[in-house]
Amino acid sequence: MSGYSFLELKKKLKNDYGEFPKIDIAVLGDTSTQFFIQALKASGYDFSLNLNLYESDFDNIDQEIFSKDSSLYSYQPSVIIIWHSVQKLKEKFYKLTDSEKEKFAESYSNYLSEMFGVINSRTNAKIIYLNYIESNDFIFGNYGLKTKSSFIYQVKKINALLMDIACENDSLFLCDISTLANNRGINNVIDNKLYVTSKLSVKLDFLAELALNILKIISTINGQINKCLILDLDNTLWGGVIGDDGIDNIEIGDLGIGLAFTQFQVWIKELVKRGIIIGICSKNSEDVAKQPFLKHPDMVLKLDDISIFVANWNNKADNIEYIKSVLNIGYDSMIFLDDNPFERNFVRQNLPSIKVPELPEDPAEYLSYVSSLNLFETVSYSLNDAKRTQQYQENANRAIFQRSVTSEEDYLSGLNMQASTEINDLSQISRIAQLTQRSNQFNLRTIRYTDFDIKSLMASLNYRIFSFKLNDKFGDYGLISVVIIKISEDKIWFIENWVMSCRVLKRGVEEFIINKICLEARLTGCKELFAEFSPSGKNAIVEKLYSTLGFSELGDNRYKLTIENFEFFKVYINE
Amino acid sequence: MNKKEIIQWLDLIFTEVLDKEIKLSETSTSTDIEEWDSINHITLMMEIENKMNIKFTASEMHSLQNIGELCILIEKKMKN
Repeated sequence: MSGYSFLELKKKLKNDYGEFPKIDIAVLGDTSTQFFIQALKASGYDFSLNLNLYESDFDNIDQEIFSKDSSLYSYQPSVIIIWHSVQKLKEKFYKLTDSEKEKFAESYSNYLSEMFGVINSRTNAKIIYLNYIESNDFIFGNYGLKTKSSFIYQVKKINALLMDIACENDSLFLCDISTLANNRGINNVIDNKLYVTSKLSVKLDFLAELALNILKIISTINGQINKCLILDLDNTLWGGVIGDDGIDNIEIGDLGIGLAFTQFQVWIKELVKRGIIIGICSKNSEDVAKQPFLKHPDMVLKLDDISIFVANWNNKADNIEYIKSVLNIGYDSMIFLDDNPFERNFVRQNLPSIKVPELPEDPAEYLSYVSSLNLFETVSYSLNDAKRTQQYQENANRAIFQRSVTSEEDYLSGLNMQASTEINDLSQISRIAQLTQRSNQFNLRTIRYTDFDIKSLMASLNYRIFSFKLNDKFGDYGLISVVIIKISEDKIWFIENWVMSCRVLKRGVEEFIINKICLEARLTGCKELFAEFSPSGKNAIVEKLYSTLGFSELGDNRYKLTIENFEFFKVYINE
Repeated sequence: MNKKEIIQWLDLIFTEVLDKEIKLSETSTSTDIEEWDSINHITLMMEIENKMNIKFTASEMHSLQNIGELCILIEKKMKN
């Protein structure tokens, strides 16, 4: 919930918004939008956004959208907010015949689809569309739910169809005013005298909450997303103190109010599946803190769900700073949950950018409270998001491991890296082409190859395409490097291009690859290996690569290696 | 609450909503106070409803002539 009354929110308008990034937003409504505009502008303050608002003339939505030269389009907003009120929808609905009423949701959603399509065809603006408050007119009572010509039937159906439309439209986002209104109770949302006298479709204080919700969508569109949830353990993820109460007495599952913690963990587990990174920050010794995750049968969260686990007796601000550096994300994308008010305040004071919500005193209210804050707004979701969590986990584990060892050698040998080398691997044609197209930094001559190019080169006797895959004990990188060798008739090799994924830099992979190439060259009787670096403006990191690998310079960025003299590099990569 | 006390309350509410020190009298009207426009009028009426725990009717929202009339109305509603 917003926590702000309209009046409290409005006072923020006196603040200075000058420093914040500006966003041009158009607001189209079929009821009065003056207060809505004020609430939006004021809500921007908490998101450090300066909304530059264009308010359309009253009830002029169709005109603005369907006419090509409307002031909406000349304003060129980056976001268009459209709010059709449930009151106006009802007025339209009641004018229909019974048979039209039965098909109202279809015809109305067709109209909306067309409207969104027109906007998409004329601007790149993102659209935020408010769905409908599902207010039952009780013409049919509860029976309305099984009567197609009732308003409640049609408005619920419109809301469902809107979701289908939004699934298919990447620039359309829905604001769920229906759920917001349900949570607050319809009598706290709609005050009909405001509609009758001033064409205000909702109460002022509800506008404050609505505006906050819309600002979450806008700031997310603008790239401000929360990626990571950092959790305390004792009395946050389970009841009791593991160090004092022991594994048999903490409350989770059936014990005491364990169900409250189980529900909370189930919710967090769903966040993990969606791609939110979970960190643990607990004042405990690590082995004690991990016990429930390893041994308690009712724990929903497992160590696999945790990207980074920090349990020690340092202060939490320092530990969160450590977590931040390992995950390599910003404080403004992190949320910290802790039942202890002292810890919350300590973290707030020391790390002002991290978000630290209050937690209710009663653990049974954790879930309803935290979920009501809508902390994890997003504007995209794909199955890869969950995979990304895994990559963060792997990288976090590598970073932690790197900190735990003192020398580069210990780090590299401890990674247990394994590489595989393929020559002219037909099954990898697309991946190989893709890597040559995507790599910019580690790309020696920046030649791009299509699938077809790679296929033809593999078929040619004058070419050899080396591809390399890598994994280590923390995870699998997949295909990470491609070397394209051109062979002259006199058995001279030339590295036509070499690309590598930057994720595996500083692992000795370059040395491993040159070892493999020289070995293969030697086996086939090749005497000399030539190479060239072509600056692209983006590949400066490999400017000195060939010198480092023992090639002699021929000038003009050209290099030569005499195979006979090549000394194999020591590497920490197994085959 | 008598009329004088109600006006004191209203002074506080008007001052907060209009963000300006306001001293009302029974004869004050919206023409006397520049910030008291149609938009702020709604905010004022809603704030009076909240603070005094009363409810205005739709016709009362825009029919009041001056602060004196508003006081009589509030007094009446608070008695009920």
